[in-house]
Amino acid sequence: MDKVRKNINKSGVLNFFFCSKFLFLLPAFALITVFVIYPLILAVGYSFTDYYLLKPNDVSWIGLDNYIEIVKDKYARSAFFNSAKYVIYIVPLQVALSLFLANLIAKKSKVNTFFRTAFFSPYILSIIVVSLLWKNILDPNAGIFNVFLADLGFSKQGFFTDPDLALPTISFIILWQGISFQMLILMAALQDIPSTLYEAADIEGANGWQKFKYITLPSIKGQLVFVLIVVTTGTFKIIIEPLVLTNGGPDGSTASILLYMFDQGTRYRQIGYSSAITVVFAFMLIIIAAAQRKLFKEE
Amino acid sequence: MKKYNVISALKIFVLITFSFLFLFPTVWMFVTSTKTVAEISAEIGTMKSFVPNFNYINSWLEPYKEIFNRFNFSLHFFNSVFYSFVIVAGSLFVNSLAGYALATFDIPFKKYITGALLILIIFPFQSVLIQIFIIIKEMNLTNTVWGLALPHIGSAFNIYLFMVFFKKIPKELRESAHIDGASDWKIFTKIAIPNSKPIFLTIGILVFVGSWNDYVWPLMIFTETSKYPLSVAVNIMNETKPIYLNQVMAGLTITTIPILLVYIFGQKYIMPQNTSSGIK
Repeated sequence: MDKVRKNINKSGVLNFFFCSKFLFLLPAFALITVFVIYPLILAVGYSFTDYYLLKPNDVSWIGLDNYIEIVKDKYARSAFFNSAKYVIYIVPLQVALSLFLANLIAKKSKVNTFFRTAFFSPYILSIIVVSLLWKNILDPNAGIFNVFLADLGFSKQGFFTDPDLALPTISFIILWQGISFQMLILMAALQDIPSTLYEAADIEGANGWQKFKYITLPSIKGQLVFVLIVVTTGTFKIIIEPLVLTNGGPDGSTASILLYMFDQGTRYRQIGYSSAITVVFAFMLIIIAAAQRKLFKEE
Repeated sequence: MKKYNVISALKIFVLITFSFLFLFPTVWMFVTSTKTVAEISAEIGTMKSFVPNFNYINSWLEPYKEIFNRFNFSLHFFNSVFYSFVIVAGSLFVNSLAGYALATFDIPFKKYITGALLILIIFPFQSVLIQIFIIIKEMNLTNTVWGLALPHIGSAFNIYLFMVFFKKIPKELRESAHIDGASDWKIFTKIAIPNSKPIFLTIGILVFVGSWNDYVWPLMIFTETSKYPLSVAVNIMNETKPIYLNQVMAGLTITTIPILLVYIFGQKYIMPQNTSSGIK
């Protein structure tokens, strides 16, 4: 026994826990344990039960039923498809447009400072402000955009009520706000490319496209991958925009995974089912993170 | 030469078009907030709706006064300021301590602790909203500022950012203080913090903007309307009949102004170069 204690002491473990060094870590670790790790464990545990918020004393294990329900539930399936659609609509366009705009304004000049400020302006609005702003602009009756369409002789569009239009409209709004930040990251990367590279290419007689393909793209590859990852994970996590703009409707056509999880947990109080969706979502996040690691390692 | 001019003209056209696309909603928000309802409906669909009317400059603030009376806006504004203050202060304190410990102390299993933190970053707050709500409910903290703030304070990501920064402070600074007999706590407050203003400002601003914009979590844990922060209050405003567009836009403008100020004064610290540095 004494020997064991001695060994532990040697490695500093015992000393560590009783000295002030441990106190530095304690508050943060306590909070993270209670509000990050424990909720994840709870989610896994609840996902095998029929926990209903109003009957916390009447909980029984139901095995994999919740997971089977996700596969059977038409609205759960469409929430997963919707999230995939958001990613497909938003990610390529956002990365391409921010690269395009960053290219146009990378050179330092007074005019470009104006354009940079203009392009960056959506970023300072909070998501709730952006959502309410566009909700009013695109309002089916009184929104300035629909009045404008009507004046041009087109029919008014139900941007948030038409099942074919609602998801693309929300994607557009997210894209509109998201471009700015990614654009600045890519712009900074473009400004770091030494101009001598381009001068050398000019002497060799390279054209604009060749310069872009052989100098610009390889030089900013790291930042491009970073932007791609940030946008993909960010898009995957959207919840406020569909909640505020359409509440997931019409007929579940705009609900993201997280919004559906949130809805099941709050409005329908099905904690067990909601937790199962969280667990599936967490697994998807792990897979994405592993893919990212691989992408970065190849860099 | 001629070809070159065509390209520049095209470039300027594209830039102006995109500027308009990015600017017009914000401009419209501000301009609409200064007009009367009659003006708004008279000008709808024309370019006039994007230009403030300087003839009525004295009545620009009328919609603002209205919402302070009608929706008790000052209360929600104060709520938001208070909540953000608690979250920012708590988060800077708790995470800087942990980041410092991981950066400088000899801690057993340090490699594994750091690795675990990096794994936890994968799981966003929103994905475990329901479970955190149940924990907060069990602790009887719903409808309190602690219920709102505590889950937001400890952040693996911010610990990581602090850790990376503190590692850059030269070891010699700490060691000489240590020889002089200073305690860890003293070295942290007297040497590490004064040398780390940029990281405190950067994380402070990030956390402030995040908590100011937070919507779903306050919506979940507050059932008393008087406790709502601005973000929840403006959404209710947008749905409380009769809806006056100028008042809604005034509410949105007020929600935006503090963040605008933070970005103007903190510009140096929040440029994305900081966030993405080290990636190349």
